[in-house]
Amino acid sequence: MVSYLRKYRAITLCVILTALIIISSIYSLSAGSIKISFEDVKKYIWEGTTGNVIKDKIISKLRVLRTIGAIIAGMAIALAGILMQGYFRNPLADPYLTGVASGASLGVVLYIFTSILFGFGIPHNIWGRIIAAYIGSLITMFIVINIARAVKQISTLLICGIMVGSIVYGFTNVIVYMGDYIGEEDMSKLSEYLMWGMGSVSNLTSLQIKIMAIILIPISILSIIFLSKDLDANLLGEKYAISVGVDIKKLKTKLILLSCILTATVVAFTGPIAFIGIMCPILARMLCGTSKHLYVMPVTALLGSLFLLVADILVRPGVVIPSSSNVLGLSCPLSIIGAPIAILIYLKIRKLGI
Amino acid sequence: MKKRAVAVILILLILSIVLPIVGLYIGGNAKSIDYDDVTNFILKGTTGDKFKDYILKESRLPPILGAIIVGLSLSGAGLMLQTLFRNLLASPYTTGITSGVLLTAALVIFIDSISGLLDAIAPDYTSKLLIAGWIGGVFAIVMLLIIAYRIQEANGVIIVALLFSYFFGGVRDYLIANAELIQIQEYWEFIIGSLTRIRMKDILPMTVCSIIFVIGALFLIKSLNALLFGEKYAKSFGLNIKKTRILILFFASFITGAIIPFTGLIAFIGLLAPYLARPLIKTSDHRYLMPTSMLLGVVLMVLCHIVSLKYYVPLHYIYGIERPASPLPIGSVLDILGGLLVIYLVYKGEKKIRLD
Amino acid sequence: MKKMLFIFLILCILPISLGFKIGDINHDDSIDISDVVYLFKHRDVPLEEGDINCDNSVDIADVVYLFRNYDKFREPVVFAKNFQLEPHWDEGYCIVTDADGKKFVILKEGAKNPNIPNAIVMKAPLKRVVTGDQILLGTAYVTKDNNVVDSIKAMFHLSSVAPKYKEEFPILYERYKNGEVLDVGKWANPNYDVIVNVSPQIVFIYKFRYTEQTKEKLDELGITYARTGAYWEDTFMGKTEWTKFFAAFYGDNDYKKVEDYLQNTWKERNDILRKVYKINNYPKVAIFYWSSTKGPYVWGAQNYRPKWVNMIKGEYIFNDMPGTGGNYIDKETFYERAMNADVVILHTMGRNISTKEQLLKLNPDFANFKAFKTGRFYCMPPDNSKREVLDPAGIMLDYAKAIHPEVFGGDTKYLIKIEP
Repeated sequence: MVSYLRKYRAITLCVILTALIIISSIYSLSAGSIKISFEDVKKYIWEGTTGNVIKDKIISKLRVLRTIGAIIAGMAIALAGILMQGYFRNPLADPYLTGVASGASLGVVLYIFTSILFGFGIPHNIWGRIIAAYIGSLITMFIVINIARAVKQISTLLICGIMVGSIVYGFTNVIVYMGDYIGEEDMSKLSEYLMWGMGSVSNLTSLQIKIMAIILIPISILSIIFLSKDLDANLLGEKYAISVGVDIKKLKTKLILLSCILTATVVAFTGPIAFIGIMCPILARMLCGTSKHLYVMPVTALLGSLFLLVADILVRPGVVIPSSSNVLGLSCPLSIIGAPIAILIYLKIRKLGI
Repeated sequence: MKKRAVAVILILLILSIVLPIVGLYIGGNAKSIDYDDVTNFILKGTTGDKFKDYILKESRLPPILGAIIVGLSLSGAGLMLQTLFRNLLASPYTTGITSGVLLTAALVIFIDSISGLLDAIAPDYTSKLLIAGWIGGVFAIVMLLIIAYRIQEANGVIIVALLFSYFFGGVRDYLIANAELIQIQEYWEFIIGSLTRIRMKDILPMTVCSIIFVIGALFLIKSLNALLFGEKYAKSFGLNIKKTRILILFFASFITGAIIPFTGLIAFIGLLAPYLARPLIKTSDHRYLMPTSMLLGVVLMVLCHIVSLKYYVPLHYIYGIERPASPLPIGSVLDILGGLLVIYLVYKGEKKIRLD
Repeated sequence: MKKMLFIFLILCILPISLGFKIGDINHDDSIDISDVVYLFKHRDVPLEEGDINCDNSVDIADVVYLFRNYDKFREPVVFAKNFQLEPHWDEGYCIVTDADGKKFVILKEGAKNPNIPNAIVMKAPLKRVVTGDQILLGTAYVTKDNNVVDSIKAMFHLSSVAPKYKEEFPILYERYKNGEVLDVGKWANPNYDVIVNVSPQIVFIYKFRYTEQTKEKLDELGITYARTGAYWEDTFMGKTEWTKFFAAFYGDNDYKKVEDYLQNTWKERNDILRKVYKINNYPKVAIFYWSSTKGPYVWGAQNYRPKWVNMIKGEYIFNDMPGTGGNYIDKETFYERAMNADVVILHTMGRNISTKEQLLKLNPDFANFKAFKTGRFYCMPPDNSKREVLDPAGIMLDYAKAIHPEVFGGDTKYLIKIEP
């Protein structure tokens, strides 16, 4: 009886969230520094054109891409977060604990500030930066996973992950510090690196989004379908999981590998996206009232897409921030709005004594 | 056990006197100053050439003194925070203190009207940053104390502090997105930890603050030892938990807010020194652990300072390059070396557990 | 009759010398081997025309120099290395190649398309432009052509550029204030909505790694763009020559005006070189940027400012640092060399440092510099980047005045002298 209620609750949540995402997408098509009215957006959706070539271009080549990018990236990062939280059995784990973000930063910084990478055959265009970020995060991931195999305790792995992240971050700072970026035009190098570090979906081209979709969507769906049961068992403790017949070693490898691939892909294209990886799983659990992963994971994914979509709408000048401002990075609205919400939730949880 | 601890402390004490002197010899790249000059400087107070004196006194000496001060204070602060939160990852950085300092520094750098407000108190740029840093540190202290008062459990304070640092980071990111390029550069350079911008006249306030901090730390040793048993036991020993918590947080934030405006973020030492000190003396008694951490902090800082200035010597020797090299930021050197050390220790520790 | 002939001759010569091109000794409007022959036979040409190698005399060395270089002198682009021009204005078009190697064919009004393969066709003058390169404003200033400023519909970094050029282009500042010209934002995260809304004929962006993402996005949006690379030039003249690149997009009138302007700048530069030819002392010169947090930043010896200093007989103290880039160095090495330098030119990166107090606030150690005590400590003006675009000859002369006041006089036009 209770499980039926939970199921219906989860399904209702999914339906509400999907509706919210659709509404936000439509709003996203119309919001921005150049205002496009809802009438025009409706015309575009039904007839394929608004009648004005410029507005068509803005919607189809800019806004549609951003919206899809935000939905896919948000979904992937949120799922990566819940996979990591399952692995560490700690609700404070985030997808960057394996040093993915610092590895990607190192790759990007090597690409922006030095010419070392070009000797290895990395191309001289934006794919170079994406590939550099990917390779950086994969190498760091590889190191941390190998450490994970060699240690028994979870807390040791946590420390090692943080240390590897610090080492890589140290190298990144050294390269930027010694980089040649003084000179009126050069200073944009530093600005580019910092803005990349805040995350953004506004610069993606359709080819990049297609690649993101091809990698991320199948992995997300497959992990929801196949890993939920094992994650449930794992939550109750390692010994319990083994006794129910879960192959712990294989599960752990799968978890960390999938989470890293999801995170690395998102970070390579958009830059590190803060907050969603931690917040959405916690919120999803609270909303569903249960920890059963078959219900919580889809809700997490939908929450992730919704939050990133709303954040992407908020960074456009003219919507909330003054239109004389520059385009912000995604970390701004996520942190400024996400952190107070998180504090409130945390205080509420404590009051309830959970 | 005691003997080993005392021996280790003595060794570290000797090292922390010898290494700074070595640092004076090789801690700089001026080609015209050689070892005899430095010896004269130490023994007689002058090398005979006003020009060389100036370089030694203003350029080479302050960073070494700064390394000693930073090593002492931040390691002690880190140890206190780790004991309070019973979490090996606690440090001035993870408790959000540095976030407050960075936020006010960013406000002063990026928003001209705010830096204009400080014109009355602080005429020049560095003292403006200093006062802003103080205010940020005090702000973070106040928030931490309010939270510490309302939340009973220690780990809760860390979580909330972390979330506050996220929030401050978001505000900073907004400023960065809209700032002029040169302001971004100034801000970034401010936060990267480096000892080279310390001047002789900064050493005095820094020393005063560290002396206050060291006295406070020594007083707190008893309470820290009591806290080791857990808050409930400590209460039963008659320890006023709330007061101790407030005192620890106050001293840690006080010294962090006093040092960061001069050097930038060198938070890793607060994590590293206590972590390395524990296996060295094999006891958690703060009567030995506190001096060990502090002295180990001094040794590490001076070593890393020398490395950051002289790292290029083997590279240039192999490749035969003659051009002057840029110094490394000491914060990053600490990150790299410290991270490697910790991983090695952790790995060795794990091996031991498995062999047992 | 004789009088009239005399006047007629003078009238014939005057207009020709106004539009004189360096290297065109025999005034036949082209630079070729006949000029070499002419110079060989007639040594009595004026100094500023005949002294090509700037050694203060017209002699056989000039003939040899002209012989070696007349090919280069007659090219449309002499000093700049990162773009090319092939003007065929008589046939009505001009081929422009940008820093990426992309070809553009600029057609005059009513001219026929010559159908150059792989080139993008554009009609001069441009009417809708988005620019990220300030040198376009330099072109506008030199040609005094309102079309250039009117065609700018959006700009990168507008909020910092428009106030900087308020004096020279008040109309741009006005349009920025009332929203007629829009701000695209920063290079790292441009606001593409604005660019698409303006529907530009071309977008000018810098050739840097940080514009590669912009390139892909503009390709996808189907907007033409050209990448400019004045930053990569290693001489003052090379950087200034980029004004010709932009001028070509606005037709042959603007092109000719910029051509004349460049020849004049070249002449003034040669003038400076001639005057320093006889000097035998090389004062030590330090050019650097001082960061309040990281200390001294110095450039390599091939960067365009140290290069110019070395050309006008100054000894740049870091001549052993190769390359055109720069890096931070440690304080001790820097102080060792810079404290004893005779002349110091401090890069202020847009800040205003004009008094002793402001300078010592930045770094009290400057009071011990020899250049400070002897009153030869100069700071670049806050609008230095603007001046280098609009009046490079003046800036070059300023450096000469700072380094050799005994020859040029000591009052610099733009560099700010700090009184000790």
